[in-house]
Amino acid sequence: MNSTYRYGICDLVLISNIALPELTPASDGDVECQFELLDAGLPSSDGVEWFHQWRIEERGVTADGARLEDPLLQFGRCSGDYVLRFPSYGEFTITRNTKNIRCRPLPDTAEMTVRHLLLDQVMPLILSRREHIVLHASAVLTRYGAIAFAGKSGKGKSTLAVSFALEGFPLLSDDCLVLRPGHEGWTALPSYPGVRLRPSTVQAILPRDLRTMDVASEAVKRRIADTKVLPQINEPVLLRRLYLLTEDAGSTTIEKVSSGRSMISLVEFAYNLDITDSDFLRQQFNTVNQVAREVPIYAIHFPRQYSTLQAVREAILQHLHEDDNIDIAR
Amino acid sequence: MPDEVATRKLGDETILLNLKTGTYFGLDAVGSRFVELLETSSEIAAAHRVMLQEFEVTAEVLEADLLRLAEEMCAKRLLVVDTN
Repeated sequence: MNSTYRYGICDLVLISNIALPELTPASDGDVECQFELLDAGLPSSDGVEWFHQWRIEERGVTADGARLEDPLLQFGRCSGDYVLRFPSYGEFTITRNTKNIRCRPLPDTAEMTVRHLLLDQVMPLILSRREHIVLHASAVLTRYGAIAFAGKSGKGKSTLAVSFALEGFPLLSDDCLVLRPGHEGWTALPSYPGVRLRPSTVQAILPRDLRTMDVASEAVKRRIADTKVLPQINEPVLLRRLYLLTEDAGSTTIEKVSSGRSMISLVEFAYNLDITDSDFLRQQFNTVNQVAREVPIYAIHFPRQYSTLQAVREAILQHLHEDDNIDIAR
Repeated sequence: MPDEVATRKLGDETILLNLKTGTYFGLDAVGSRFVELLETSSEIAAAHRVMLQEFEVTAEVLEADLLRLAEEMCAKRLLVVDTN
């Protein structure tokens, strides 16, 4: 592979044979992962053992013309490698040690779409094999430390995080949050700059002249990576709270979640490349148990109206302030 | 309980995980006590006798609750019941 590009993502150095402008160039550190975009072609299922799939409805995504029951992503194994097939776009092959990633796109798949799938779908799954836990969550930095928002797609994770960022609270992650254990608690790692928002959200809460970019050729969402408007933090920080975003509600309320429910929720929002790996499941079971015990987890109910975002932010900050001495003392 | 089921007690609650299927299941205080007793006696009837002394509930209601829970756990491969 003629790798000419070198980047950082979630504390990992990735080299690639195509430019990945969404990522920050990395000048030092050992290469831990390499990506190669192959020529377009049609995938073959010869020798592939399929063991899992995400359906579109499970991920809360509606692609143009796709039925909700269609698989968004199929997980398989072939000759010891993992195979991740996006039926509408192409196939990624990942070596068992997760160091090598190859993508064979379908003939009509744009390179931008490959980049989106690599960064927002494949890399979180790869990181799930390398890190203690990777959550489908956004996160921002407050004066109390990092706070994260986990929830199903479409529940407002990115919107809430962007709402904080617009007020000067730096973004850590849009929807892939890596957590590592440390002496003082669980540390949240920055993922990569930028967020993805629906056009209606862009129009409602962002400055009118802000530059947005396509996420992928058919994607509805827009990508925003202007760090002057949405500041980013590039250092790991202690995670103080995790908020679970619940269904739309008439008013904003925050309630403590029991340790048991916290554990189930962490599993629900954790990425997992291989759900058939018993050793990994046991390790993840121990990890979510530890996180559930050590990170205060709350459910937040709030109205899904742009006009109430400020009140929701204030409620969260007030909640952090009021319980600071009780809940974050370790 | 099958060997492939891992359990963790968190306060009054217990979380079960089937390591073969990846299925997670949460139990409240009553369910936790039921599983705890099953791990020692392996008999639903024995668990029922002990829990009848510990919880304010009629024998009929407790029996129905435990059987329903056992059935649900069996369906999720978190419990194997030997009907003999």
